[in-house]
Amino acid sequence: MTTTLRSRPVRTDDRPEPTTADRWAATVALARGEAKRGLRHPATVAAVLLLVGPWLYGWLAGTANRYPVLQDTDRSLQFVTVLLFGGAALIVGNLAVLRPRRHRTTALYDVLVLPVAWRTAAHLLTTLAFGLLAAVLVAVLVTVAAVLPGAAGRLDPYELLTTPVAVVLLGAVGVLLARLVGSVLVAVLAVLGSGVLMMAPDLIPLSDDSRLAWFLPVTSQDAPVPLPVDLLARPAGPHLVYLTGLVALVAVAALARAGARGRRTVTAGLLGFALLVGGGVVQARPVDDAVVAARITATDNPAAQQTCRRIDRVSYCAFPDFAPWVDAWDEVLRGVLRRVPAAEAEQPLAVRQRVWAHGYPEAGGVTTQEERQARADAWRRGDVAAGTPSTISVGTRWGRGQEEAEFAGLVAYEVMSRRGAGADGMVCGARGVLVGWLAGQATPETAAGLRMADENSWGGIQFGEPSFHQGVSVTDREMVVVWELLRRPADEVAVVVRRNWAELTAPDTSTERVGELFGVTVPPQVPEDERGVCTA
Amino acid sequence: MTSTPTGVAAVRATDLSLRYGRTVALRQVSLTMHDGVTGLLGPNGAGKTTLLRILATALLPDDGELTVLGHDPRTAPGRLAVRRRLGYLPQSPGFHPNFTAFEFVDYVAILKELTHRRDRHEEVRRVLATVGLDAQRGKKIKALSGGMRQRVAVAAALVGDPELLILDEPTVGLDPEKRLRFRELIAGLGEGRAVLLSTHQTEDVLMLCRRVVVLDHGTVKFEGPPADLVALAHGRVWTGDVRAEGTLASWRTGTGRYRHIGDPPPGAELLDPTIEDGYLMLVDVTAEEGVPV
Repeated sequence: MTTTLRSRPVRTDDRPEPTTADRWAATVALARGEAKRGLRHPATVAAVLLLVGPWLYGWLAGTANRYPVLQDTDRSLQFVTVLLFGGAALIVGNLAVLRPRRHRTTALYDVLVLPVAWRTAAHLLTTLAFGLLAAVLVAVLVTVAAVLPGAAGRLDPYELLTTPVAVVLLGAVGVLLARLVGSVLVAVLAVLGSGVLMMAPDLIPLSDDSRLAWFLPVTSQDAPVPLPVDLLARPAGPHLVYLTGLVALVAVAALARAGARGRRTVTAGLLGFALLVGGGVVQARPVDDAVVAARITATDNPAAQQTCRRIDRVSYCAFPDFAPWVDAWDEVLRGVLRRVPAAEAEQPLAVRQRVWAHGYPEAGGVTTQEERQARADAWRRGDVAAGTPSTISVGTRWGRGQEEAEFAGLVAYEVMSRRGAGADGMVCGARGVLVGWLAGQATPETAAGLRMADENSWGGIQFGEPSFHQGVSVTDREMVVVWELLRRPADEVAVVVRRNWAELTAPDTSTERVGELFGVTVPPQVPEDERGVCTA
Repeated sequence: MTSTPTGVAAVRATDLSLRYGRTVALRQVSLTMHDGVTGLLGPNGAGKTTLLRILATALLPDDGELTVLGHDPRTAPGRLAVRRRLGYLPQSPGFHPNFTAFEFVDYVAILKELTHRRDRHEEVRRVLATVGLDAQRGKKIKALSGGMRQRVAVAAALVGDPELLILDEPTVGLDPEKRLRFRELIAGLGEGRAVLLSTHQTEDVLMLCRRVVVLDHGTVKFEGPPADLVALAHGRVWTGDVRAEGTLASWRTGTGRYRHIGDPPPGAELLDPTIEDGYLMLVDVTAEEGVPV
C-alpha cells in the first residue's frame, strides 16, 4: 500500500558537505567540553587535593625535606601522580564514553552526525588534559624542590615527561575499556589493578640489574638509596618512547573498536607498535659495563668520583651532585666540635660521602662482620690514597633529622676515637653517653632526629649510614643518661665535658662514673648475658 | 559538494519491512511525506518506533526502498547527509542530569558538527528560546520539571534547523496544561518543515496534524486527513443503556450510559464520532506486540 500524505514537497537547504577540517573542529570542540567536565570531576579534584594537600601540609608544618635529591624527586612523584591522575583520567574517560548508555541518550546520539570513531578520538584527546594537569602540578612541585638551596642532583626531562604520558596511557585505557565493556566497574578494577601492577616490583624484589620493571608504565624499582646521577643509568628516554608507543596502540585499539578503519588508523597502529618494540628493546638492555664499574668504584673507593671542599680544618668530599649539602654537614659538625676541648676541635677532619651503589643486599639483607670489616679496610685504604686518612662517612640522604643525628654521632665518635671510616660496633660506658649527648645537642635537627631514632628503635640508637648497616650504636642504658643531659643547658654540660674529656673518652670509663660527674641516676646494669659486646 | 534538489519529498518509502528474529516489526510499509505535521498513530507494538528509527537512520530496513530528504540512508554518505538535516526526539529521551540545559543542547550541537563556537552558542540560545527555556538555560537538567526536560529534548532536536523533525511520543507523561503548550510548540515547528509526530494522543493529532497515518501490526491501516479518520466511524458510534456484546468496543461513560462502536445494539442512539472512534475502528486493541511469522 503506497500512501501519499501530501503533494507539497519539503524545503531542502543547500548545505555544504562537511570537510575533514570540520570533523576535526567538532572533535576538538567535543574534547574541549569533555576536558572541562573531566577536570571538574570529583575524581580529578580528589587527585589534585591528594597530591598537593600533603605537599602543602609538609611545607606549612615544616616537615618537608629541604634537601631533595632531584634525580629521585622526579621519579618519586611518578607513582603517586600516575596513580591519582591516571586513575582519575581512566575513570572519567570511561564514564564519559559510557555516559550515553548510563543516561539513555544513545537513541538520540546514534543518529547525530559525528561518527563514533571521531567521538572516541575526542575522548582520547580529553586524556591529554589530564596529562597536562599532571605535568603542570609535577612541574610546580619539582621546581619548588629544585630552587631550594639544599637541592642536590638534577632533574631528568624524560623522567618528568613519563608522568603525563603514563597518565594519558591510563586515560586511553579507560576509553578502550568503555568501548569493550559497558560497565564502569571494570574501570574501577582497572585502577586498582594498575596500582597493584606498578607496585609489583616492590612486592616481588628483582635484581638490581633487572629491567623487567621498565615494561610497566612507571616503576619505583631502583637503587635503595639515592645515587649520583652518573651512576643511575635509568633508560628513561627509551622508556618514554616505549610508553608513547603503548599509548598509541591503546588509542588505536579504542578507535578501531569504535569503527575507525583505513590507512591512517593502520599507520598509527604500526607506528605505535614500532615505538613500543624499539623503546622496549632499548630499555631492556642491561646496564652498561662502564656504569657498573663506576658503581663499584663509588661503593668501594669513592674519592676518584668526588670533589672536596675545605672549611677551616675540615675537608668535605662529596659526589658532585651533592656538593650543595656541604654547608649543612658543616653546620652539624660545628655543633659537635663547639662542645669539645679546643685541642680536639682544632684537629684536622675529613668528611666523605659514601653510597652503596653496587651489590646492595636484596630485600634489605644483612651483611656479616667480615664483610663490614673488609669494606672498612677498603675505605681506609682509599682514604689514605686520597690524602684524607681519617674520614667520617655521610650518606646520600639528608634533611629528615635522623641523618643529621647519625652524622653528628659519627662525628662525635671520630673526635674521641680517631679511627677513621668504617666505624662499627657498640660504644659503651662514658663514650656512649658522650656520643649520644654530642649528637643530640649539635643542632635542633639532630635533637629531633635523635628522638625520632629513639621512637623507631628496638633498643639503643644506631649512628651510621643505615644503607650500609654499619656504624656505632649506644645502648638504652647510656641513652637514659643522654636524655637527662639533653634536658639540661648544653653550656653547663659542656663545661663538665671539656674538664673531664680525657676521662670521659677513655674506653674503660663507666656509665656510673658519668652519673657521678653529672649527678644523674644511672639505671642498673642489665644481666651480663643480655649485654652486648663493646667493640667500638 | 553535493546538494539535494530542492522540493523533494521528505520521506519516500516503498515496501519497507523489518523483522526482529521471528517477529515482524514492519511489513511492506509504503508512504510519502512532505512538509507540515504528520501524525503517526498506533497501539503499542504497532511498529511506530521502529518506523521512526528507520527514518531517523538508527535502523536499516531488511527490505524495501527508502529515501529521506532525497538521500538513501542505507549508504554511509546517505546516512550522513540525512543526519545533517534531521532532528530526532526519541521516545523517553535520556538526559545528562548534571548538564545544564545549555550544555546538553550544546553537546548535541557539537555532535551535529556545528563547529564554530560563537555560531553554535547562538544556535543553542535560539533553539532554547524557541522552546521557551531561555531563562532556564543555565539550570541543571536534574533541577528541571518533566515538561521542561521534554522541551530541552525538543530544543536538541531543533539544533541546526532540521528539514525533517521526528518526534516519538513527545507528550507522554505530560499534564494537560503542558501538553497544550507542547501542541502550540509543535504546531509552530511544522511550518516550513516536515514533522512526523508519533503519539497515542488522538486529540493531539486532531489539533496538530494535517495528515495522519495509522500503523497496526506493522502495516499501514490508514492515511489521510484527520477528518477522514473521524469519518470512518460515521454511523458506527452509538449510545445506549446496556452493555452491548459483539461490538468493537463498549464502555460505560461518565453519564452512566454506554458508548458502543460497531453494530448498533437494540435501542441505541447514533452519536457523532470522534477521531478516537475512527482510530478504534481500525486497530485491534487487544493485539500483543508484533506479529509472529
